[in-house]
Amino acid sequence: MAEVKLHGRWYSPFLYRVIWALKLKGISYEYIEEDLSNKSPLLLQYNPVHKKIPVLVHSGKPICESMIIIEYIEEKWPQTPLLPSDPYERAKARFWVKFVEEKAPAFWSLYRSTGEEQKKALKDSSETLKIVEEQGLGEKKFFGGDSIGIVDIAFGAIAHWFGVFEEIVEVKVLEAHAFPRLHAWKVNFEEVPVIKENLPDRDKMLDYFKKRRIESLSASQ
Amino acid sequence: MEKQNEVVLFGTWASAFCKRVELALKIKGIPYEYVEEDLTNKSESLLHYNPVHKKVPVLVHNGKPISESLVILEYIDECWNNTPKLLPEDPYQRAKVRFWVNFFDHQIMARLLPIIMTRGEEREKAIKEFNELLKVFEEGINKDFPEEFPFLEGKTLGYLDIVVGTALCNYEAFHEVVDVVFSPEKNPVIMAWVKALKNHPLMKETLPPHDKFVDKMREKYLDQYP
Repeated sequence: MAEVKLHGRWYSPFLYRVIWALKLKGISYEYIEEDLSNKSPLLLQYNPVHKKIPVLVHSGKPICESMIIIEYIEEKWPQTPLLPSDPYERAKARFWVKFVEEKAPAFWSLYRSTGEEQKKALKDSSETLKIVEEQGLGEKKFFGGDSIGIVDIAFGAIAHWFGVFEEIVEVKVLEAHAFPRLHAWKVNFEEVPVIKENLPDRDKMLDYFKKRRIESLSASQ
Repeated sequence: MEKQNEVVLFGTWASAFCKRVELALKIKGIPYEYVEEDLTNKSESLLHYNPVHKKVPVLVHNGKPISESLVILEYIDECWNNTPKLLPEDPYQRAKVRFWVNFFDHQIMARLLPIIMTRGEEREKAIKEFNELLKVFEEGINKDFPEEFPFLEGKTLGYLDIVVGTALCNYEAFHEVVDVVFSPEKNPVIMAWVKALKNHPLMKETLPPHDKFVDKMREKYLDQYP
């Protein structure tokens, strides 16, 4: 069988998107932890343009950008499909993936910023959650219907990390009373065995992101 | 009467994103109805079909709307599964094409506004950065598609051609209204590619007329950033 390698960083939501896709499809891979403050020559060779993780390397051929990697995985390994088979439903799924990608910065901004900037991030992320809940998820259990799909994976990474950020900045946004269906979705998503078994250690994450926030805020003063 | 394949495209004539879809439809030989939108007075149809973004382009196929130009292009390629194909068949090639289109949209095109908004030294710096990014793009395309570059010479237009062509073929308008940013000296590969694209009959048919486009750009950019 051709070899699959995945270069990542343990706390990256983008990495986990790819892990979830590989695990859901039962694809074996070798994981390589990258030190982003001291990037390996291999990473720089595989992703010369962005020098970022995740990078999937399949039989020596590198693929970059988490959602592009997932589309590749979907095409190479059709079992447990992550995209619907109908072209219109696929287009809808891709629309929501793009939406999530476009709106993601606000979620990070809530964590990274303070004052007015943070207030704006709070407003923007709430608005995004509202649109995603009402128009993306609707009455469905998962974005993919009865089982998780590409949109669940794309958004799931944002939502899970967002939970950690909310705790650090002591601001609750994705609450059950404000977003009942999305909150229920998050609970269900994190109960899916592949997801539950493949999440970074929460305490470790809290610790890491707390430290990073302090460092970056004091650096910008 | 039997329901045909009904395709309606909501767009604006000066938008490269809308031109992407028009070009894709023409490449595939798909008949469509075009509806020009006034973005200062959006139609009920547009708001109904794209409630999330309220933007063009929107493709409506047998009453079902699809938004976001790149999503629409992939939809067109999958739904009208005939030759010519817009994206390559091989998954690894597809991943590379998607990567470079993503880079083009998010890295390169994002650098035009900083040029428009600045003057003097700041603008020179912005133009330099733009040319450097184009160079990265050129080198990347050359490396990833060694057999195919330049793309044309009897070949049909593909996903990358569509995206690059609709964005850059009217570069002379940008030169006239804003500043000279594209040159064969700085970016020979891109310029050769754009030149070939400009001569393609479907591209010629799709692109907005130069003078009209210049007026629109003046209105859009100079009025906002005098």
